[in-house]
Amino acid sequence: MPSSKTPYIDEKLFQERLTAFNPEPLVKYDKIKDKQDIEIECIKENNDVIDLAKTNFLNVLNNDDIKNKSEEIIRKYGVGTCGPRAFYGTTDIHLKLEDHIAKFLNMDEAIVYSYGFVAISSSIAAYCKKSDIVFTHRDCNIAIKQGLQMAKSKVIYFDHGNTDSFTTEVEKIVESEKDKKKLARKFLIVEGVSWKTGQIVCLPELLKVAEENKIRVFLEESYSIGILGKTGKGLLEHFKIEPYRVDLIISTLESAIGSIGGFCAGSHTAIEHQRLSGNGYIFSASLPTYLVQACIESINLITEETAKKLKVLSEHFHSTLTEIGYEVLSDPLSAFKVFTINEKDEEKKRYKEQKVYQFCKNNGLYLIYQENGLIANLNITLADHKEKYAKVQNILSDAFSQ
Amino acid sequence: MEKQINGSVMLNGNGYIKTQHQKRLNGFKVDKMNEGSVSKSNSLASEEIGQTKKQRVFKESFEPPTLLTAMLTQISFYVLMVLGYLSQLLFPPKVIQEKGRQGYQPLYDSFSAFYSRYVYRRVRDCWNYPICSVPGSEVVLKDRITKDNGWTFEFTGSQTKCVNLASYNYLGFAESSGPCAEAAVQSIYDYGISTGGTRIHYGTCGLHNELEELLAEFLGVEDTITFGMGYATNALNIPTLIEPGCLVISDEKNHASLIWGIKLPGATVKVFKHNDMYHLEEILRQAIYFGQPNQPIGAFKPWKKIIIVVEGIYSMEGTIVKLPEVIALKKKYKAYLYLDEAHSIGAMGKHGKGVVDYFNLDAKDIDILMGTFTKSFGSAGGYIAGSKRLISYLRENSYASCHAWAMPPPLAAQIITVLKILMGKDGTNEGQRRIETLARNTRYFRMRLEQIGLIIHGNDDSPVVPILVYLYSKIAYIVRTLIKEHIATVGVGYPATPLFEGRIRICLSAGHTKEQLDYALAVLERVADEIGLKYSRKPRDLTPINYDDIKVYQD
Repeated sequence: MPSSKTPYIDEKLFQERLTAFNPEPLVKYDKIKDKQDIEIECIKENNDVIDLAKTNFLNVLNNDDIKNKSEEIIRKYGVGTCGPRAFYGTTDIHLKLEDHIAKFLNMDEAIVYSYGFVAISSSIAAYCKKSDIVFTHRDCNIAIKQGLQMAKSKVIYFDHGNTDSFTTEVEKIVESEKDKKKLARKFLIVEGVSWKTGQIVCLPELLKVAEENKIRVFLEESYSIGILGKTGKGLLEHFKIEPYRVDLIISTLESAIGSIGGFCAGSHTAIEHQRLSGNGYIFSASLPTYLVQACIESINLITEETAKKLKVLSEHFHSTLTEIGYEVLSDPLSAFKVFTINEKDEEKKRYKEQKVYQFCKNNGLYLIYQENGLIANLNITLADHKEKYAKVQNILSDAFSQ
Repeated sequence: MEKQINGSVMLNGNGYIKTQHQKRLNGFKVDKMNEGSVSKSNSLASEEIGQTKKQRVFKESFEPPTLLTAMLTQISFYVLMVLGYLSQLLFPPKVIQEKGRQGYQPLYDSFSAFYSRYVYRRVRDCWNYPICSVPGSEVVLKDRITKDNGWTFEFTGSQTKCVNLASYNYLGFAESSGPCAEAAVQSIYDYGISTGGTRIHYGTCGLHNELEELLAEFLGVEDTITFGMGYATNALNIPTLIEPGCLVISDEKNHASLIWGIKLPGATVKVFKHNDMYHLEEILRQAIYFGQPNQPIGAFKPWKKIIIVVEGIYSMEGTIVKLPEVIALKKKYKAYLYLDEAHSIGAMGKHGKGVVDYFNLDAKDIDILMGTFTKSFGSAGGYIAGSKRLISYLRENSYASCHAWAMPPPLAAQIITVLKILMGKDGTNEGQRRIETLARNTRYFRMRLEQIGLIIHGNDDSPVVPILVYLYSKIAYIVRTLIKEHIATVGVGYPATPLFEGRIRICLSAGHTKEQLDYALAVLERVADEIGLKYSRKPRDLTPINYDDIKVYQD
């Protein structure tokens, strides 16, 4: 309804402009590719094939008990939940999982989202606001970036592996706020194990700086829960840090847990807020019940024994790679290995990586080839099967020297 | 033709039985209650609308409350707030205080904390009710009680079986047995509970390919791509399609995931009044005429591209998008169209192909066709359908295919089985039966509610039925009473709806039997009498409705 506010439109000029309007194409994309050229299909594992491409650190994806339990759940609850959590999409299993996670991590409360990516971005956007300052590391994952973009907070980057760069940035901000009456609220959002490099963050030092400056801390633990720490409880256990010192643990349930979804764990105060303000929690259907049960089952599988096994395997694999001559970017304790070939010329390096990737693939060893190098997601069964491990070692060694 | 689609001519195009009285009723609704919404015609390219093979009468209802109701609603809300503040003063929150955070700024603003603890808490028991069964036409609730006014809950150990009028189980495919469940179970053993990777890195499995081909055939598009979560389909794909310099024109009632997606990339967003084609055209005209803002004086820079974002069925309003008009506008002003069929796919149209099917349109007229599998399909996840170019681009560049996990195989297996049933590929007419039952249930339930005298919003053919109750406390009372009467419904209040438009929402399903619906209607009528919900001032047609005589989807 054209109101009095409607600006004047000259009909002739309008027609000219409409005729002249030549919008850009919907997507700027010249060459249509076949599906097969973009996506890589998963591998059927057997004795000749070793799949280090899928994220299956604790081998939960091949666990028959979990499969049976999942079947049971589908036969009781069906597949989907047909509704968001608030509208009868909460099953007793969902509540059980939230309880389970909270107890596992020794936190007050946990909240489960139905997708890992959304758990990270929604939870960040629920707290961080426009007037806040958020410190995060330069190569943080895209989900963190999206959450911060939505929050519109002022983002200050530092280097993941370098505590000093964090200290410097914090000092700069403190200095600039010296004369201000009202200080901006500050957050530190950091990946425990960097998604990109597999490096472990030096949390105790960061926490010290954060506590001195009253900065709240969100720790992203996707690649540390189930892997690091004496009993696999993640980075806090690894560094022997009291849980209350971080405000929120954010993680996907898609790596070591081997299901789908994500969660946040923290104090009652923190989690309570997300139940009414976590965009992806309120406005999406809840996680299918069988996947919830799968999470519970695989958390039960995480023990001191698996953590130790995975630790030994990770360190062993790290030294194997270095001995062969690869340059390993990830931490020795990281369960996924990012490695590359030491070569100054970027193009040559990419070419060689590609060759290694292809050679391994031809010989039944599947890795992931990405912009930052080759990635091997370790599988705990490698620790038990010496001959399998030897095979991996041989293929990687042959690939290097080809 | 144009007149028909604008609703001023009552034609029996969709085969519903109409008595003389009903025609009058509809006329009343359109003319008196829906000013400016459907009865207005504008300068739309009528010849383009005329191309659609069959016209539909578009009947949507938005009966406003009386002034008294509106005032009472306001007053009651303020009373609630005042009581909340008083109780906050007198009773400190029974939440464990944060440890080691003295001197820190609060984690979130105090109003959020207040609202959640002292307003929402008092009615907290109406939401998040845990269930312990499949959310089918009946659902088993796990009973809980609170001994401290909603701070904490305890399970009593008993269970209540309710008629389920809450879940988005439109076609009744939320089943724990039968072909869908069998296929899902089988896929666990064939492919695993998840593929453990992203689509572009070893996360794709045979089921994904089968699903995407089948879905493209079902929808009548060139290609489709599927994702692991419906919300993420919007939130992660839209940002890859727009950039600064683009104009996004969005319906004011669009879902949170769409808003999340269009807010992100820094494009300009303009919002038009809900389903108001007049307003949409006005914004389009201005967009073409003025181009991008903040140009040097005298300079003119057109928008890079204009994208209109609408939904099929609006889940809180029960309204249906005026798709033929949107398509005509989009063509006239060279804009692109993003249609979110989250609630409508499966639930609308003769073949269950969503609002596109409902209006007999060509799916290729919609540039980006999005939908989810959470609702009619009884699974989870989402899809985008469109041209080969668009889908190939998304496959390669979407955040959701590069950085988020692929759809787990059992979800895909469930969807494939549902699609086969809907397409009749299982050799039965079960799919058609479900589609027709849903449409019949919808018509029946809505007509009966109007007879009772409740104010319901939305389109006559929409299986989402909001019943307006306005007052905050009435929402809670009804939800609680209905649960006692073994009926599960959803109450929706602020912040999901405007502050003074609290409502009960009912989602119909093909799984509901007439007996279940009649039972629910009888209880609703009783409750409506008890607490005064018969707000409607429309003339009522009390002619008994014969369920079996309701004809749906007949040519």
